[in-house]
Amino acid sequence: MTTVHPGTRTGGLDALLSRVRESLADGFLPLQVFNDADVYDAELERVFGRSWVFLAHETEIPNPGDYVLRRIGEDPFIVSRGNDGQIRAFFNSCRHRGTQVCRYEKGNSNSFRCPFHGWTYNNLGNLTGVPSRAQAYPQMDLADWSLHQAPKVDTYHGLVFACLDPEAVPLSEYIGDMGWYLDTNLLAHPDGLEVIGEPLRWNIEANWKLGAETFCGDSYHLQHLHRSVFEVGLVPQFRGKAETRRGLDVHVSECSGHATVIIRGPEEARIFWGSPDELKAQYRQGELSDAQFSLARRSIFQVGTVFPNFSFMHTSTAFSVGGVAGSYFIIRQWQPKGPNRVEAWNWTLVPRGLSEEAKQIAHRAALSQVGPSGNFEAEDSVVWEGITRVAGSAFARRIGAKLHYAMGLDDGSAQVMEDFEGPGTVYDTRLEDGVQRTLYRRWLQEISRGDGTAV
Amino acid sequence: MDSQLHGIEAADAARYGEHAAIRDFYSLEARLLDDNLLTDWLGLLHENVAYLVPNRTFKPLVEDDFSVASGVMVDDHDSVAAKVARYETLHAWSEDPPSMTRRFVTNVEIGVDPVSETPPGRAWTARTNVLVYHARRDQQPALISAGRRDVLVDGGNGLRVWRRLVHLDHNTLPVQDLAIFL
Repeated sequence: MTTVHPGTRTGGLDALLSRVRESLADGFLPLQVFNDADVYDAELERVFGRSWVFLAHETEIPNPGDYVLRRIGEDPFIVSRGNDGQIRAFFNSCRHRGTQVCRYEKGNSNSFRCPFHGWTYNNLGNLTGVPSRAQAYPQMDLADWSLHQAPKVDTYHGLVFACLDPEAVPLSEYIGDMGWYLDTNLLAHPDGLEVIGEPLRWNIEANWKLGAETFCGDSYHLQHLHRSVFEVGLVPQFRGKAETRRGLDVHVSECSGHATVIIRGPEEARIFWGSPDELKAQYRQGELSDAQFSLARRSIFQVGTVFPNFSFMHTSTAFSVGGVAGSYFIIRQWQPKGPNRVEAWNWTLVPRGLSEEAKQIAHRAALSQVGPSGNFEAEDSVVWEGITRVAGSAFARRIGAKLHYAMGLDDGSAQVMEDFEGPGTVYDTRLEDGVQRTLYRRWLQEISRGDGTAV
Repeated sequence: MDSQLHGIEAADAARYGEHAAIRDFYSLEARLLDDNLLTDWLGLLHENVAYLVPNRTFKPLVEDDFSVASGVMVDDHDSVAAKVARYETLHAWSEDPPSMTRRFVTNVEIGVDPVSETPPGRAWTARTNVLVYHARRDQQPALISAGRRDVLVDGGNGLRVWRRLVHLDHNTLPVQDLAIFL
């Protein structure tokens, strides 16, 4: 017998969230969350309006006056390094009548001038020029009309984040235990990392959570969706089959609400994500603990998501059959554009000062696998679009369709590794869904705040 | 520069033959791609081809918009061949069934750009406009618009693409993936 579950159009957001809460406890998730206008509106307010959201890498704006245009949720911000060297995120909207004061996506400027009436702001956000001011606004105090800005902006080893909630916890606390894993990627090279060029952007007709969820660690899909890549032989060091090597392949869930997957080589391996020898020789323990550096050394592959929409992947692949493999570290933002639309933003990071040739190999390796013409990623977007399409269907709402996220839950197939050196709940297999449930537990917690429902 | 501004002169008539041959080449290339005959199309690429689709970002100076350093596609013959080989497995789901594409290649101009590198033998520079209609299954179709700058060379038994630089008219790609060639 089919039970009719009212969707948010009839039952309201709270009813849907209650259903999510009940389902998630058993490892299921209502399909509707992937294409629903009410859910999306609540996400903009409660998830993107309160979380620390990734904006840029510091090396995109190294000099005073440098700026890039970015978004928090759908809201436009200018990420600017002021002449005082400080990074701020200005709401890209003139205080006078609201239109965008910055129309270039990247540049260097001492000021931002509104095209409408010419109000001009310096790169500290202060209003410095108002045409015909003496006659038009003889009483105006310019200090009252600075650009609005994100109340919190901070950096984490080069990653610039902002938060629109003035009450939010500090960034370091927000990243929390995930920092232990992020650091292995961000700090293993003594010179730090820099971006190559500008972020690559492409449109996917899919819900933003699907990208975030896949990067939390849908290890299970590799063997099937990406079979063609293994078949052609572009990933010689990586077995396509998902047979898991217990304890070497690990899923790190519930890591301060974030999640990551790590595929490791044996104890003594020197892999460093498949880096070429020249690069392997450069990695240093530096600020990392013994356990962290050992993880970097043994890492074949790492992928993860920092809630809500920042992801990363660090590994290596060849871009021609039998050709040289390049290692690459990409960072990713799942930029929401509606309940059924997301822009993927992709940056490739390389160690600073890497030779042009090595940089080019890293970049080509990244582009050949991820991004819109990547051998891997060309496949992912197609399935995400398919999920999003049916998530918006009347039938899915009517029957209360639920999706299966229960792998490894309560059947003993995934064991927690109590002796693993890093934080989080670490499973000894990559055949489990705890990493993805982590995302939805956190999401449910955030989207439920403020709706009067106890979590 | 002047001759380009003032139209094609009588002395240029000899070039019309070349122009027609190059237009025919582009029609052939578009047909092979639209018909998904990728291995045949691969034969139109020179073994040392550089196939570049730079990333585009709106900046204060238009000429800085295109970044090859952070390209959308940075390929050579072997990496294009790897993509083609992958599409031709039975498990490249995104192209199963294949996208419907229709390429409209127009505004063929020869010799606008100098040949800046040393090509292997006789070479022609050509600019073209390309509009690709792209539809996959039941998805909304998309249009991809671009200007191309090619260096074509004499491959002995026909023209070959030796350099291709694709300037997209998009800062954000309108399609979920670029599992096609422009």
